[in-house]
Amino acid sequence: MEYKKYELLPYHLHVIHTEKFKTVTIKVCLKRPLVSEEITIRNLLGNVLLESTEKHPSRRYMGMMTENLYGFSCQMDTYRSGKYMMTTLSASFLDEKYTEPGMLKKSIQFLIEILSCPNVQKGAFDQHSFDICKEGLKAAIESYDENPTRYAKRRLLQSMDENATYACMPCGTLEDLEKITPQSLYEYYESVMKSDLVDIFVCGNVNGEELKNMLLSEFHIKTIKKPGKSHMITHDKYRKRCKITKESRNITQSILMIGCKIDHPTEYERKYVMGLYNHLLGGGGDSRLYQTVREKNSLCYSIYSSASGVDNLLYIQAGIDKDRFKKTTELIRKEMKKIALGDVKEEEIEKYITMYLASCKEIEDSPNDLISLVMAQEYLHNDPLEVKEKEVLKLTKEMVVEFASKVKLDTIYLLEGEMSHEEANAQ
Amino acid sequence: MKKRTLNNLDLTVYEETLPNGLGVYVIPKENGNGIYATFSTNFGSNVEEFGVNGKKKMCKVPLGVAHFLEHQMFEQEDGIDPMKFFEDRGAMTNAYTSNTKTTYLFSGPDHFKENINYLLDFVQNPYMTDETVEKEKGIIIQELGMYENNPYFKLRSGSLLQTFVKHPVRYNIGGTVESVKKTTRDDLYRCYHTFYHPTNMFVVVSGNVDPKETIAIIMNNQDGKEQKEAPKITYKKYSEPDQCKKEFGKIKMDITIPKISLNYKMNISRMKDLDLRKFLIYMDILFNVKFGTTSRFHERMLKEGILTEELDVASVRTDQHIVYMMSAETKYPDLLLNAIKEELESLEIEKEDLERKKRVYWSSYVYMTDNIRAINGKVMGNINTYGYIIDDDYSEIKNLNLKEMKKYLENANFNHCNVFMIEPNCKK
Repeated sequence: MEYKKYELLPYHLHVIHTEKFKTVTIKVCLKRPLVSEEITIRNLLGNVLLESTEKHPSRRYMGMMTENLYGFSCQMDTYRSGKYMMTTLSASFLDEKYTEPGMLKKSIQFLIEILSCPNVQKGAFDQHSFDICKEGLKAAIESYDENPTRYAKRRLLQSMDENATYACMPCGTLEDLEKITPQSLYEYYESVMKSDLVDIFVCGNVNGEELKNMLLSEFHIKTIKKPGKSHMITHDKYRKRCKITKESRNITQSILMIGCKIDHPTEYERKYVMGLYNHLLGGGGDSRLYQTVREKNSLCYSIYSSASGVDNLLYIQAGIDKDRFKKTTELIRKEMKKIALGDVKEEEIEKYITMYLASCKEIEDSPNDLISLVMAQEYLHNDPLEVKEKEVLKLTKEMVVEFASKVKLDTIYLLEGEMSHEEANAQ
Repeated sequence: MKKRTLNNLDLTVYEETLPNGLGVYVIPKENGNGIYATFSTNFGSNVEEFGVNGKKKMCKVPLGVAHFLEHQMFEQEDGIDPMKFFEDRGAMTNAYTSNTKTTYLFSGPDHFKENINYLLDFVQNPYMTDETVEKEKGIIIQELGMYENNPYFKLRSGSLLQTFVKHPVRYNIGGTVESVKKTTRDDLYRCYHTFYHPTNMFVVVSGNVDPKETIAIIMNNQDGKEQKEAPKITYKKYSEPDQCKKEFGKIKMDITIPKISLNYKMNISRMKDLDLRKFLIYMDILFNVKFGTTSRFHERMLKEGILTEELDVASVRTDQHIVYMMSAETKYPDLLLNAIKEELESLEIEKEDLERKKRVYWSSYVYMTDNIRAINGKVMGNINTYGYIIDDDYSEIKNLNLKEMKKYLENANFNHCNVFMIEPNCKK
């Protein structure tokens, strides 16, 4: 396996050359600093670009093309990474060794076509494609809160700080959607192609030089861009007393969400200690929360914690009965306190290191994981695999105790289920 | 050790049936680091009543018992949680229950010998007390609550409940709060001793392993264990009618856009000389051509604002029936239902469409070979469903043709269907 970065002026090309896979995986990432008013239009743009192109004027024709390319799979994701809005076009297709000669070129051409040859007439996106995607995004926004866990997470973040970047509605708002026209969307598209920072990540049995030449001759972005700023969100206000918010809804199981802010971790803490802390607290089946709340007290089926280094936030999530709220939160607080007071065994750290090193080996088995690794190096300045494998060995008990003191409990949110099992099944 | 090469997929399956009856399947993939191992019993939620060793009296167990047992297997007499054992060795473990099997697994690149021995040992050494059973009830009831919150789960479970009349496939895999509460240690041990005999189980290992060594490790592990005689199991036969239990049902949930499922129930036990597997492939292709992204139907539904996403088609099978559940979220359920029914009035498709779908169908097998979990899943599915490994999907797909498709689709009967829907609650 060999990684090479080509710093072309309008975009950077990252090639992970390996003969291990029968597929070629590509991610084209476009990013710009997050502006909340642009979230809706950016989501719509991603959908419209994937709906049709100049040569393939509807979803049906796009589908036929992907099938002719032997199940070329592609998707467009618009999401937030810290202070940035990202739009990623991901594609995966078979190495032409397993299909027919010329398929690599055709597949890459199709990928470029999606981004650079949109279905546009007279300075506006095709009305038909626009209407379908608008309707689709409207449905996605309207049904976003149907999933109680997703709703609870959104409400937790709003309760923590409704003006914070991390509290934005991920797929946009109906209000903003109504204002968008095929013309304004095309103007936004042009500004994205002109000023977004673009990186192209490729993993598979491809020749980097040939790929570079193919992209330069077919993917015409002319503007030269300056390097971007940091993605990281840091916090400057911390609550002295944890905020507790409760809402109720006509569902069966109650959802408990806890949000913590991490107070200015060092680079090493963000890259390595945060993962260890999260693992000890609620990162797996042998974690403190799983063993105490689920196994010893039968309070839940699902409980886990997750850490976001880019947002400097840590979440704890559990599905419980609403009358077990007090007991569950007491146990969670107790477990967090125990780590902060140094109740950590050396063998727990050794176990984490073993798991970390094993997961490093497994990364090499997945093209998507390899690309994520390189993306994290590029965007978050994370370490390459060989450095990670050395750095993780430096973890100590003192480090995790020190890190625990930086984890500030901010908000506890409970979405109370109003319906019993009997009511849910009586209909 | 038998060696079976999967045509055109660069994969070989090494098979061995051990003296105690345990089936072992190894698919090496030397160019990766990972190892994925599964240990399964052909015992799932569809078993509600069974007989053992020719006894006339059938034994009835509470709904969800296979799933309950799966949870209980993680209790060990020495108090060491299997989760911890595997994590200490850089691996992860999990388990899941389906309608027809229960699977225990681990995944991790190192310490293979210790890990595979432990997987076999923990599943073959049950330790259940009244206390462990009681403790688990609280956890399982919370798991059921989690599913109750999910509208797509409710759409599927509501559909199955009103499609089947007698077959236990109509119930949720985890059972109900009542059935979980009344499950006893005796129920669990009875099922364990009946269905966890090596003759009813199989191991599949995929990834960076040596097949000969792997089979030797497993054989050695099994040789050291007490060999009991295999129970003769009689499964209850259900005289399930072709008609659905109900033609229409609906519930309300805290959602914004209605969700609907149109469910077609077909008898597959009267196909005479036709190959059932081929019938199922042709049906998949039919639904894909008729309702997938490349269909005129889909294009029209998008244009008219009836659908915003592709119609989802899922199927559930028993030995006698298959039900195709066509579901979507839509603000116009009646228009959608009429359009689907109208589309199904003709089952003809174009040659060009069939050829394109064949290309994609085959490609999906090639994609699978890059992923050791997917490879393991294919072998497990083949063994659990057919009892053998299908080694030439390539020729099977290559030889699909319109003439044969027409003959097979004569058996597709769309006469028995029902509709289940979820409407938004007025209160938000």
